[in-house]
Amino acid sequence: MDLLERNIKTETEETRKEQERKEEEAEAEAEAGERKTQEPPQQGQGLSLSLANGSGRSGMLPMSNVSANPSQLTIFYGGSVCVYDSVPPEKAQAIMLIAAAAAAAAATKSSAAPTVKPPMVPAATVAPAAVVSPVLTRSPSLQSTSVATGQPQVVAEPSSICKLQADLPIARRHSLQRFLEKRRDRVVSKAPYSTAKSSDGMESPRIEVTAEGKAQ
Amino acid sequence: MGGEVPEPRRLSRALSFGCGGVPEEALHLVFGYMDDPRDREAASLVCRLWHRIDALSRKHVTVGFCYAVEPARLLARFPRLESLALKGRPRAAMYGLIPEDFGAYAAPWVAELAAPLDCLKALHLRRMTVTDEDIAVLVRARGHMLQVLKLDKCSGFSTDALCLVARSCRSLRTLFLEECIIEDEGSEWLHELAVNNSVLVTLNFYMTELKVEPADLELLAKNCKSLISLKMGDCDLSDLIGFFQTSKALQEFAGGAFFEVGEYTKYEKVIFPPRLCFLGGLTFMGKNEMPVIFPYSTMLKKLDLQFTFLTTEDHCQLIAKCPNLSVLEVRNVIGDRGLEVVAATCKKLRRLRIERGDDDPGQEEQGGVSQIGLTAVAVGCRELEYIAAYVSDITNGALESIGTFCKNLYDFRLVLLDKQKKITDLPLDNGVRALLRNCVKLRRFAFYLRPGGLSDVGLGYIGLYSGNIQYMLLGNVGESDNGLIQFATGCTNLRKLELRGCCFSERALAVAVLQMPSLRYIWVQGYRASRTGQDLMLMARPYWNIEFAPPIPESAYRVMADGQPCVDTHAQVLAYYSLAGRRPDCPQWLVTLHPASL
Repeated sequence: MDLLERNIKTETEETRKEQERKEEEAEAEAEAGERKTQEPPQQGQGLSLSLANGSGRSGMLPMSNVSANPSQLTIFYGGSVCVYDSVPPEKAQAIMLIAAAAAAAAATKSSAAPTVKPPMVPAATVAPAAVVSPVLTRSPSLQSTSVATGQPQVVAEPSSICKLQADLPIARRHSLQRFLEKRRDRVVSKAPYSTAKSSDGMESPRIEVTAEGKAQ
Repeated sequence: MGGEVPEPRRLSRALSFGCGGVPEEALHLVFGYMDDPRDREAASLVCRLWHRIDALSRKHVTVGFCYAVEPARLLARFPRLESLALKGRPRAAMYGLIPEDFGAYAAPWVAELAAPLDCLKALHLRRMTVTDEDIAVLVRARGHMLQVLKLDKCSGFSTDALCLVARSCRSLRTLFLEECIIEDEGSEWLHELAVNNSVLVTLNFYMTELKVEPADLELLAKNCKSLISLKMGDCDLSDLIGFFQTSKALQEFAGGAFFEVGEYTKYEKVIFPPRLCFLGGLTFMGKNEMPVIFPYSTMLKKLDLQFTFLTTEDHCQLIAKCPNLSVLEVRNVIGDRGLEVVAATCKKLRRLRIERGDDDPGQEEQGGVSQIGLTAVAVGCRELEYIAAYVSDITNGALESIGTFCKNLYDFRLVLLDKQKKITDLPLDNGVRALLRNCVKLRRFAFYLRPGGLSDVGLGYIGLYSGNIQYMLLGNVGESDNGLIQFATGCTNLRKLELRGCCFSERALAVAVLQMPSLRYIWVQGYRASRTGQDLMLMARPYWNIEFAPPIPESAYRVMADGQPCVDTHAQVLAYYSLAGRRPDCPQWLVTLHPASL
């Protein structure tokens, strides 16, 4: 019975998330206006909340025996606050990862299309209490900060590799170095070479054809 | 009484034969046939007489490093030299890694030896600092006798000194100035040479940036019927038509340039001399200008395309017409496909050099040279004695192929470029082992990789199978000090070693030096350097000089020979045997380590 209840609760959470996202996409402004109040507009949500609370309380005793150390999960999304009891840490982490990925995707979208208003960034945190405080409203910035932090880390690797290679570069003989410099000057300044270069460009399709011929 | 008479006679004869053994004249003749310096060295240790005969009959000496011996000592030891070669700055100077004020001055040598060496006819200075005054001293003392003057990658003199040489050295047959850095005060020196000399055979001012007048070259060709080789700077090839018409005997030409690219009609009148078999320079030669040399391609034995504008396809087209090449020098724009053409065409190839270009236009998409091209050349050109290649990719298999097929290899140099991230087959331990085991004639070996390119095991193989190799350059090899120790344990014949970009400690370097019995010169850069080089003192021993260039702060400003900033700030160690003791002319940035300084 407990296992069944947990599965039901998980499905309920997922369903609720999807509904909330769809509602937001369909009626962004209206939904935002409506959800400025903390009262749920639909009876269904009310029912699900109460059910969750009830099942949570009934499940507390067996969960403590398993020693999974469950806690409350509070989700701020679309102007509403949702509180879940007895959420295992693993599931909470998974939910937060999904939210972070969604946030990153949203950030990418916003960067791709700056004119479009970015949607609200979901913020998922494991809170010991259901109290709503101003500090929690800063979670979105923390999320974006962590995302931003991730990007430099990715960039850092190639730069460090380049630095290592630059430490002791493979040196080049003076005479060849001078020729390559003269060649660069010549490429930049001389029109005839650009003509030759374009002819080289025309030639490259032939090379490809030859290569294909060899391949065949 | 009668019986006593025969006895004294016998005694007399025995005594007369015992006084000297082989006559001195005969020994002179025998020594005259000994050319190998090491044989000479061994013979001179037999007894005082042999030592003296060697001294009097030695005609040529090469001083491997100009600080290894004092000029006066050389003069005392070999007073009848006809030919002297001196080497100065470390080889790394060619790559901008040694500052100009390192030293290697020719002045003490010229001052001490020019006058007393009555028989001196040939002088060869490499990577030394030579001033106009040095050349003036030389000319005053030996101008009338000098037949060969080679200033190879030297710096510090001007065309004024060349004027003096041209006016005073009328017996000069070889004037070699390749890759020198020369202050250009005008082209009068060539005019003087043309007017005063009638026996010149070789003139080389290749890669010097010196400008000359085509008319002076024509005059030179007219007056010096013996001119066989001319290697010069960039001069439009269309201005040399007269010179080529006049120089009937010319066999080697390098230089010239195609400044008007795209105008073939201007260059189609260029006709090279009939005996031409070496071509080089041809700066900026592209596809449109290539036909200029097609008529001579089958006769060419040496071809230098390092300074051309040829694409990979152009290389394929041109080399396919040159079946008699012995020497080929190219940039890596030739690509693997070009090397496959070389392998199929050039069965007499002995020397191959593949330099590093710089993102060449016309280079095929995969670009550069890899194991594919090297393997093709190894299989196809089995007479190769010298391979120097900058490669983008490499495998053990390619090195094994070189070992299997190139039995005559005397000199092998490989640099693995660092642009390509993924290398097919690292480390190269087994490949290098196969190469060294099979190429038993190898005397010089250079292997410049990247971290991870060769493990300690591979480094041990290099030592174990070093055989008769006398010179090595190793870059980014090994994993730890233990690898270096293993390497050193195997190197019984190594005389000169250069290390760069390795992870070894000073202590390991010192131990390695002491383990190699034949080592007389080592240069190291890019190692685990301390601020003072104190652990290097572990290699201290009699007649062994240790010079340490500490790591330089980035703010310090130093210049190379051609005035450009020194690109490198890493610590360097130079250690060598010397009969001369500590250098008297050390620059301020070079610290000489000596037991007394502890």
